[in-house]
Amino acid sequence: MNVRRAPARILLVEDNTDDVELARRALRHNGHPVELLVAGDGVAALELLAAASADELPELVLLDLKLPRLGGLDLLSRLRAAPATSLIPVVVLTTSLEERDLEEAYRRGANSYLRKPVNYEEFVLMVRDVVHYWLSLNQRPPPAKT
Amino acid sequence: MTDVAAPVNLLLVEDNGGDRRLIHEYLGTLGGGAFVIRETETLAGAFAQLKSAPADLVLLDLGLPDSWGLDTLSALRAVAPRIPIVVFTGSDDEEQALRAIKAGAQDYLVKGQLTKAAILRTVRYTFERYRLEDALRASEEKFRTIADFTGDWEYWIRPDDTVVYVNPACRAITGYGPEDFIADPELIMKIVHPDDQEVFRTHHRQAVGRGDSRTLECEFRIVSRDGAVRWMGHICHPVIGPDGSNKGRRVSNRDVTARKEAEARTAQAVEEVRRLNADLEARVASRTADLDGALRELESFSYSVSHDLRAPLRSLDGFSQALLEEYAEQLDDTGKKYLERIRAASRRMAALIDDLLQLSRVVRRPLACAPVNLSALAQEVAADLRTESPGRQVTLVVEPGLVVQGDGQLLRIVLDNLLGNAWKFTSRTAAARVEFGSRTVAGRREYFVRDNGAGFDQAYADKLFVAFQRLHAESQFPGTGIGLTIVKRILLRHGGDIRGEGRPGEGAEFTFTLQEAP
Repeated sequence: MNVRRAPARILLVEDNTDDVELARRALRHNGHPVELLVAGDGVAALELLAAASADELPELVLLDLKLPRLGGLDLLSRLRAAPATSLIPVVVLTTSLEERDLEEAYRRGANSYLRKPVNYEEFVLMVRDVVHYWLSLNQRPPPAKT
Repeated sequence: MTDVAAPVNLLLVEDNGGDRRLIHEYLGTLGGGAFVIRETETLAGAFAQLKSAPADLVLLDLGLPDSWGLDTLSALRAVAPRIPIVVFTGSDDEEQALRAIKAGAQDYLVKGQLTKAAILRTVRYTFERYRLEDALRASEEKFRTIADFTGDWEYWIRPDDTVVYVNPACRAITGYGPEDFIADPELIMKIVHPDDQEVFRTHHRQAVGRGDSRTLECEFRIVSRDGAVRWMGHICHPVIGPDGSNKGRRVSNRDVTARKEAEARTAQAVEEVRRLNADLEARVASRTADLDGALRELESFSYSVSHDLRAPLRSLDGFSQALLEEYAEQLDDTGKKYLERIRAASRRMAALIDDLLQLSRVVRRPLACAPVNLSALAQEVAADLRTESPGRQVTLVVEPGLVVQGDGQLLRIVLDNLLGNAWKFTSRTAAARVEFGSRTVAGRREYFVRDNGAGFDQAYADKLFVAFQRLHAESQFPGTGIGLTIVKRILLRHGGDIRGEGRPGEGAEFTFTLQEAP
């Protein structure tokens, strides 16, 4: 991934279709093209990732924590466990109520968080401060604390 | 018995006049009144004399007109069992004299050898000896009464395990009589209950076998002759002879069956109580766990409900904003205003949900208790307020050093609300002034937040803390109407309270208390 530009392919794992629509709108705010892949739940996300070839993998995952079937935190653990996806930056989406789940998300290997509804300015700041920094560290994911 | 200093009362039973005169002469004139002598010639006369007045000693001739030989003695003895008798006997008949003594006479005098000295000596010795014997009998009677008339089974056992004395109470307790124990020294061991044989043997070895000089006790069961099991409270003391030698053990066994049974019943009752207590505690723990479970479920329910209620609000707000931004040209001012109202409404709803969630949390949260610096907290809250509305000029006065005991998080909510309200209601006041301080009224500490803002009508003061009841229009001052309800709940949980005073256009003062530390 080019550390000086915003990610071009993003996987959004979110079950609420309104939130998906608003996120899509927010992420194309400045006109910069973004390919947004959407999965409605954790299982669909894993299937999508499994079917993708190495250069089709997303450069960033936006993950809603509250998902049906496989929950957001469990999906996060799976992403970090699988070699193909273990180095992709993951940003969790939270509402103000879920901030207490952030600790657990970081423990499982999340890189940062964004509050819902997704705001473009915050998104850009997050990418610059967190994602680029992390990628510059040899694209190694943070060690999982057990 | 009469005192030896008093004259000795003699009864002389002698049919021979000459002998009588002799006796009188020797005993009557001698000793100057030491003896008082009554006379009679027949046995019948002797009975009559004794009936009318007792005698201390009887001088008895065995050959009387109305009785002969030892029959005389027996007859007299029957009538006077406790009076010493000295018999007269013929010089050639000492056999008779000895037989007389065997038959109950105390001594004898030989008629042909009556001398003054012999008579005096015999009378005196007989009298003394009989007095001593009587004393001994009385003493023995006294001790035997004490030994025999006790409910406890008592005995004296020698170092060689033979039994010297067993009291009659053994029969009632063991079913065996004293004669059984004396005949069979092993009987005591035999009646000890099989399960307690070891205990008793060990005790016996130490007490009797080793001649322990201490008082020792033990408890054991016996099986009486009729098969009844009884508990013995056994205590034994060393018997030491006057020369210091070990003469065995004096034992007392008390039937303590009733006490042991009562003890067993008490122990059972205690055990029952313990079991019931444990049962009760288990139930309490179970109920508490149920309650905890219910509370946790309620918590997670409230949590998910709030979460799920917020999602549509996000959509409302987000798409309204999208409309405003993307279709600005197609919308006229009214259209834009409608959308703004939609957004405002959804934000209000979100605030309501947050407040309701906070209210329910405030009620359920366990109360932490620690020192809380209210002054510092007030400054923090004020700093947040300033950040949120940077344009505003508000003079804030905070009394320093106000430290209380309570739950810091909840008290922060209190100050958030009270100071936030003061901030809000002074938003249209020129020289806004908000104060946080304390005072002592009637020995109780009170804290107040005072502002010089819009105030309220005191007539509606009772609605201040009721949920959703507002004293101002939403358009003037936004609010959910839950804030003060939350504040009051928190203060009540702290054992305190709150009241509000206001004057329209002049300002308001909210005063609260917390529980006084004991």
